[in-house]
Amino acid sequence: MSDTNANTPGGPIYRAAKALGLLNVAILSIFALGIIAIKFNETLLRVFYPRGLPDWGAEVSTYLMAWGLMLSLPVLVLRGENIAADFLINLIPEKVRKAISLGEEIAGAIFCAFVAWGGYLAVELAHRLGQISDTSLQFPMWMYILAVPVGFGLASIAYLLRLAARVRPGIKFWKGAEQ
Amino acid sequence: MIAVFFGLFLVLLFSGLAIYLALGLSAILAWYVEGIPLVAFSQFFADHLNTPKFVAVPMFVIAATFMERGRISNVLVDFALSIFGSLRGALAYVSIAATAIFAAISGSSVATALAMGKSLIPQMRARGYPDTFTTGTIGAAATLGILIPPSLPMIIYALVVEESVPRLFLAGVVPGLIQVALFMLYVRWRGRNMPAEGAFDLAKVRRASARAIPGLTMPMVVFGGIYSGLLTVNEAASAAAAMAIIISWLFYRTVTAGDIPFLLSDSFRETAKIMIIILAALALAHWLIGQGVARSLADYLNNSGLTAIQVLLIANVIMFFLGMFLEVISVILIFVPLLVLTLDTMGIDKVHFGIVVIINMELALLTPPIGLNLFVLSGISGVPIKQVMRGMIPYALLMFCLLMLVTLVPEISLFLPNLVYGS
Repeated sequence: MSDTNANTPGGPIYRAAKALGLLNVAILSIFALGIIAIKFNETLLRVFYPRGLPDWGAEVSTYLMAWGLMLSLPVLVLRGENIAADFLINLIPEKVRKAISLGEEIAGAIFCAFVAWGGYLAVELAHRLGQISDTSLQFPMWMYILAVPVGFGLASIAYLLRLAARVRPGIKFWKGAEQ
Repeated sequence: MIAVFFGLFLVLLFSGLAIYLALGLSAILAWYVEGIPLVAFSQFFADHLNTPKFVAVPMFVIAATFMERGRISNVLVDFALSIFGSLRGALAYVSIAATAIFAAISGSSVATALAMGKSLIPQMRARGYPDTFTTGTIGAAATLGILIPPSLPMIIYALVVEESVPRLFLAGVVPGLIQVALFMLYVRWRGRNMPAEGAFDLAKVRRASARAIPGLTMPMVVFGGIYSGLLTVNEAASAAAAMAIIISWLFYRTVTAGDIPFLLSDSFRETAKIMIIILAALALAHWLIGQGVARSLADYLNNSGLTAIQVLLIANVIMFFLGMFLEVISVILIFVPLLVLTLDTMGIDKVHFGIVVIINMELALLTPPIGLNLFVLSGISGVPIKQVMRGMIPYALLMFCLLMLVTLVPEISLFLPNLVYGS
């Protein structure tokens, strides 16, 4: 099956991209609602039952936020939605503009891969040292730090997909599967 | 070395690369040259992401997204119309008043411009208001989104300078009200030949108020909660997010249950756009501060014989220039860390400086080539950017006067926080 056919609505690549997109939406929604629920719970307990106020509310909501933000990175890259100071871009010749765009994708892929690799090393270190949070939850820190290599690793893959789509436009499957 | 990396950053930035990449690539190279291991760079990202105060940012973005998509702006417009409808140029007054109320719920100027623009432009067009005046009024009024609390840039600024968010929020109130008053005075003069929308009708006010109550409760919960000590900023932000979801879904029924997950994930992505710039900017700022740039700047300015006011005026010029080319959060993250030590040594109050920064950023939203509100209003209305810009010029001049006033008279911004929290 050619890439283009696979990319048509109902094709396997389209369906896979759609499913991944929906999974991303579902996870981010759960994280956002989780933060709201934790903060609501904290407020209620502080007002009505201060002794029952857990010491891990801020910690867990921060982890949810961090994971949510990191999982948003690859989608931002695929959609090309990162903020840029692109006011000069229209003043430069088309060829140079294309070269800059290609350069951005290569630089982005390398930068995100570097951060992901460093993140992996940080996860390994935290795991080896048995680092845990200092609240009663004693959360293993490697599970939190893992958000960085996962987010940047996926963002690096997203840049590679954009690069690959330059050679074979048919694999630009995410375009068809955007909500 | 500093000049090389700063030069590299500027080249990458103005070549149109994503801002986080321009910052991140410069930072990672600088760290590498310094001999700092790669693992420390990623650990730096993880450590700074693990900042509980950041949680307020996605929550306020969720509130703004639901307010904007949930058309809560329409209800606020009807409410303001019932009050100002009898005046000549009524819809212009309405756009300023309703935008000020919306700003007290949303922390984003762009969300405010989108929501109010979609709601008001068709009505103002239908009543014969000139496009230039319409888009100029709404675009300029929407800048209140970041001055009237809650304000996302204020939260970011507070995190950078380690200042209290509630103090900063309070400091924005008086300058915000002055800005509203200045805009209304201009509308009174400019709108004298424009139509009124019928006589004042108390029954109409009552009906519109009743419908607006859920929307109007939001700022009360947020500010009442924070300043009564009942809610932390994060809890108030989460309450605003929860209320925005419930109000737009169950009260106004402008958002369906099926829309909610998509709007929540959109909000997370909007936050991620900002947050990744913050992380990369902090990494570069960490290196620059480690090189002693901030200290040298502070020492230089301290020994230069310049007064605090002169330093503030120079900072205004630099921020105005940066604001023309960079997005609001980026200016705060690139410029402010370099000045933090200077503020301390020159005795400039960080809350006062924060409001000066925010008013500069309001102007940045109106100044080409990157003035986001220009693009938002032009996009919604189909009016060419040049025309939108022309409409905003009188308001930008008024904002410049406000900027000078707030710069020269710190009490304007400090009066309220000092009253509530003591100096």
